[in-house]
Amino acid sequence: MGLDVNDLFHLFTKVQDDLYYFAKKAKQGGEKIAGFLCTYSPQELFHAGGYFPVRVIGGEGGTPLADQWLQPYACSFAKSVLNLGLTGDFSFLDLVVFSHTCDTMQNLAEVWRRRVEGIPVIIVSTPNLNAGEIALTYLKRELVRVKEEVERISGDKITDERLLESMRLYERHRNNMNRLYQLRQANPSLMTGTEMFVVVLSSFLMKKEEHNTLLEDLIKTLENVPPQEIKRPRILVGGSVCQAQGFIQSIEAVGALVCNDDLCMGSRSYVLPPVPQGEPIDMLAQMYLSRIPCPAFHKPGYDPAEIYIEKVKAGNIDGVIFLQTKFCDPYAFNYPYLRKRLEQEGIPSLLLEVEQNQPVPEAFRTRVEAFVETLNNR
Amino acid sequence: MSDYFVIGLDIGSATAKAVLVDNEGKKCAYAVRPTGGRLVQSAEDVKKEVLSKTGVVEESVKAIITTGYGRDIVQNKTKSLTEITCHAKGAYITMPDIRFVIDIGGQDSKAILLESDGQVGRFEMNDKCAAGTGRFLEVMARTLGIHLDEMGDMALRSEKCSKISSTCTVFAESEVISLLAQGEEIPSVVSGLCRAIAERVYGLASRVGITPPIMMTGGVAKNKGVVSWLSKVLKQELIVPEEPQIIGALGASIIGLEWVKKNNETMNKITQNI
Amino acid sequence: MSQRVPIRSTAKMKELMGFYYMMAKAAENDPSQKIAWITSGGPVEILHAGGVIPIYPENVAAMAGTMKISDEICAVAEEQGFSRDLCSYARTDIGSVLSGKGPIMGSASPKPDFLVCCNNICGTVTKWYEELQRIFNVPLIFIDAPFQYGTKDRPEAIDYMEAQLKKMIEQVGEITGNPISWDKLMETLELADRAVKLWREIQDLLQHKPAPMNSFDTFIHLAPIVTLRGTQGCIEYYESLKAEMLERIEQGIGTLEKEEYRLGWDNLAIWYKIKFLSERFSQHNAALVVSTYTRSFCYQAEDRDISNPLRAMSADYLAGYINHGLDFRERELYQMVKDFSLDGLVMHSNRSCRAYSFGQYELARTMEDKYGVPVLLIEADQNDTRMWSDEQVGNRIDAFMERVASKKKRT
Repeated sequence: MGLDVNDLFHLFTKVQDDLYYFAKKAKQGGEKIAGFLCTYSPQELFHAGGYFPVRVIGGEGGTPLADQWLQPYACSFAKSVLNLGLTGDFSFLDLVVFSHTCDTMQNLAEVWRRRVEGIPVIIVSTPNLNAGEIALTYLKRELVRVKEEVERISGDKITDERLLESMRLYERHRNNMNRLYQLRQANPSLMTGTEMFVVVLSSFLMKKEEHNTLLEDLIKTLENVPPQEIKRPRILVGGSVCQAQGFIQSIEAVGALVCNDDLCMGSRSYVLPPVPQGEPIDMLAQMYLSRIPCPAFHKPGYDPAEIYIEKVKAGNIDGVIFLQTKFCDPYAFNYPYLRKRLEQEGIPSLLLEVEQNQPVPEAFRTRVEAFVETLNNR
Repeated sequence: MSDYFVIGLDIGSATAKAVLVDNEGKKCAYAVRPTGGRLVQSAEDVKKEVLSKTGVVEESVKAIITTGYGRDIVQNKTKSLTEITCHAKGAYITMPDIRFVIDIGGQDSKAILLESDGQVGRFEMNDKCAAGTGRFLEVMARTLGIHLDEMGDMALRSEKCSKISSTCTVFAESEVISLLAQGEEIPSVVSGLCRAIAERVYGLASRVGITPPIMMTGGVAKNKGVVSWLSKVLKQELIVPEEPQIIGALGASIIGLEWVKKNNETMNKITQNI
Repeated sequence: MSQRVPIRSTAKMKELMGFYYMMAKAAENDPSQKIAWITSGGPVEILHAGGVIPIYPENVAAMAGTMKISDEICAVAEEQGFSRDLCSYARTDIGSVLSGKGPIMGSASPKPDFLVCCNNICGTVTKWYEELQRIFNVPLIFIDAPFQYGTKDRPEAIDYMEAQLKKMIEQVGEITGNPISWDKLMETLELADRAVKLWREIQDLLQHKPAPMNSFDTFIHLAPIVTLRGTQGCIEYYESLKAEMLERIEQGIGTLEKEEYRLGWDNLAIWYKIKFLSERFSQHNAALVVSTYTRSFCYQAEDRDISNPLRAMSADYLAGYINHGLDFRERELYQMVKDFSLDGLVMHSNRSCRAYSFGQYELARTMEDKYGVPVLLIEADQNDTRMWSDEQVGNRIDAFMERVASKKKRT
C-alpha cells in the first residue's frame, strides 16, 4: 500500500479542471447525486438515502442569468450558484439541498426553487440558535421531516442501520481530515497551502469512501516526515470565501506559506464532534447543534476570536489574511471584533474583499505582497 | 404645404437632438449637436437649426415636446416626457412591429419592452454606471489612441476577440493596458470591448425580458462592432434605423402631433356646440 | 408632505412618543427601572408585562435617517471596520453607541440592561445584537423564529417559538427580580391584540377612494404599534387616529388634489426622501395607499388559537411578511392589489436589507407577467443617502407613471 504522494495528488487534482468530475462519473455509472450548499446540511442522511452528496460551489465567470433575479448587492457565491443552476450546469443533480443560513441563502433557495427547473429541492430549516434543548428538539423534528422528504423523493427507506453506517463513515473522514490538519500544524513544511487546498476541495467533491482511502495513504506517508525549517512568513487565512485555491496560490506566490485556515470550505467543515450514543437522528441533531458555529448562527457565549488566537499560537503564525467575500454579512459583522482582538494580541492582519467568480485581480496580489513584506521586516 | 408643424427636443447631457415633423407626421428635418454642458442654449440651437433647414417659422410650430436629461429646463415647451416614453414611440413609429428597444446613449442605456400597441411595458435603465454606455467606448478609444468612429469597423474586421473581464470602466481601462502590454492587437481589444458592452447591455435587457423584433437606438448603434456583438449575444437580428440617435426626439415630436390633433378635435367639438 | 388637510393625530403621536422617550431617558439613571433593547419584530409584550422599558434601535436609526444625520454616525462604525455594505440601521446604531451621538436630544439611546433579539425580520439582527452584547456586556435573549418557506406555518416551528417565549418570560423575570405574573401577561397580550386589530383596521380604511391618508403617513404613524404594543396609550392613540380617518372619509378628504392612481409600496421606507417621493408621486396624481412594511406590524397568524394566547402569540411572531418565502409574498402582494384597487406597485430595492429585497426581481416579474400589474423598482437604501440620486429616481418615477397612466387610459 502507500501510493506515491504525486499519484495521490493526481487524483485529488481532477477536481481542479472540473469540480464535478467525480459526481458526473458516478452519475454516468447510474448513481444519484445530491448537491448541498452548507456544512450544516445533514450529508449523512442523503448518503444513507443512497445519494452521493457533493458540495455545490460557484464557478468562474459572469452571472448574466442570475443578474436577472438577484440584485447587484447579492454575494458572488449566491449569484454564481444560481447562474449555474439556470444554465443547466447542475442538471446532473438528482437533488439539491439548501439550508437556512443567512438572509441571502434563504432567498436564493426561493428564487432557485421557482426558477430552476427539473431538480427536486429540499430546504433544511436549521435552527439559527445553536444551543440548548429547545433548539435541539426543533432540529430533531426537522431532521425527521428531511429524512421523510428524502425517502419520498428517492423511493428508498432510510434505515437506522444505514444512517449509523453513514455517520460512522463521515466521522472517520472528519478524523482523517483533522489528523491531516494537525500534522500540518505541527509541520507546515509537509505541503504547501495550495496542495492542502486541493485535498480539502476534493474532499467535498469525491465520495468519502474514496477520499478516506486516499487520505489514509497520504497521512501514513506524511506522518513520519521530519519537520523542515520554514523561512517564509506563516499565514492563517480566514473569512467567507468558498473557493480558496486561487487566493491561496496568490498568497504563496508572493513568498508566504498558508499554514492553516478558518474557512467554511476548509477546517470549518470538519468541526462536528464525535458521534454520541443513542438513536441516529437524535445523535445527528446533537452533533450538528454542538459544532463550532458558522458566523451565520448564534451560539450563546461563543467567542469567534478564540479559534483564531488558538491557531495562531499553536502554529506560530505570523499574520492573518481575511478573504472576505463582498456582501457576506455574517463574516463582515464579525470582522471588526476579530481585528480588534488580533490587534490586542499583537497579531497582524489584512482584510481583502474578494469576489468568488472572478480570477484573482492584480490588486489582490499587490496588497498581499505588501503585507508579506511587512511580515518579513518584523 | 402643411398648415402646422411639431418639434421634438431630446436634450441629453452629451448631445441635443431636434426633429421637426409636419401635420402628417412626416419627418422634415433633424439636428444633432453636442451640448458642451450648456443645455438651454443647445436646445435653442437645435430648434433653430431644424427651423432654418426647413424654412418653417416658429409661429407654425404648434407644439414642442421635450425629453431627455434637460427636458424640464427648456422654457418654451408644451410638455415634457421621459425618454422611455419617447424612445418607445419613436421606435414604434419607425417600425410598428417592433417589440423591444435597446438604447445605448452617451451616458446611459435602456431596455424597453413594448406592448403590442406600441405602449411602454416593462423597462430598465442603467444610469449609475459608465460600463454599458457610450462613455465606456469613449474612454477606451482615448486609452487606445484611436478615434471613436474607427472602433466599429476595426471590431468587425478583427478575427480575434480579447477577453475583458472587468465589469467596471475604470478597471477595464487598466485591463486594456495590460492586454496591450501582453501583445494583444488593438482590433482584437476593440472587439473585446464591443463584446463587453454588449454583454453588459444584454444583462439589462434580459431583466426586462427579450422579445423580438428588437430595435437598437442611440449613438452607440452607429458602432457596427457593438451591433454585431449585441446581435450575437442576444441571438437575434437587430434593427438599426437610419438615424438611431434621433429616435427619442422623433418620438417626442409624434407625441406632440398626437397632442395637437386631440386638442384640435376638442376645440372643433366645442365650436360646433356653441 | 403635501397634505391638503394635515392629520391632527400626528401631534398626539409625537406627544405620546415624546413622553415614552423621556421615560426611557429617566430610566437610565434609575437602577430599579430596567431597559431592554429589542428588535422591531420582537415579543415586546413580555417586556411591557415585566415593566421593562423597550428601546428600538431600528426606530432610532430610522429617525437618524429622517433627520439626515445617519451618514455621519455610520462613518464612526465604518472607521471601526464595519463594512459599508452592511445594513445601514446596524451601522447607524453601532455608530451611535460608539460616538454617543443620536437623534433623540442629540445623544445615543439609554444603555440597555439586557438585549432581546428575534430574527423573524432578518438574520442581520443576530449579528448586530451579538456586537451590542460585546459592547454592553449584558444578557442577550435570542428568539429564533424559523423562516417559513411555505405558505402554511409549520406546527413544529410554532412549538419551537412557544418554548422560547416561555423561557423568555422566565428570563425577564429573573433579570428584573420580579417574576411576570400570568394575569399581567394575559392583560398585556389582550391590549396588544386590540392595538394590532386597530392598526389593521386603520390601514384597511385606506382602501377607500380617495384614501384618507397615504403610505408615507403610515410610515410615521407606525411608531406606537412597534414600540408601545401592549400598552393602553397605544390603543388610545390608534382609536383617535381611526376616528380621524373615518371623519376624513365621510368628508371625502384625501391626500391629493386628485387621486387618479393608487399604488402599493414594498420594503422599508426611504427615510431621508419621504418628502421627495411623496411630492414626485403627487405630481402624477398618484397616491401610495398600502405597504407590505406597515402591514408587517399587524400580522396575525391564520390559524391562531385564541383560547391559548401564548400559542397565538407564538404563531403571530412567525407570521410576518418577510419571515416567509416567495409564494406567501406573491399571494400577499396580489391580495393587496385587489383589496386596495392598485394601479401598480413600487418596490424599494433596499441595499441594506437582503432579507426583504432578494426575491423582489422574481416577485416583480411574476406580478407583471402573471397578474398584469406594473411594477417600478427603485434602487436605494433605507438610511444611507449615498445610495440615492434625485435625478435617477425621479426619472424612473416619471417614466413609470407615464406607463401607468397610458395603461389605465386604454383599459
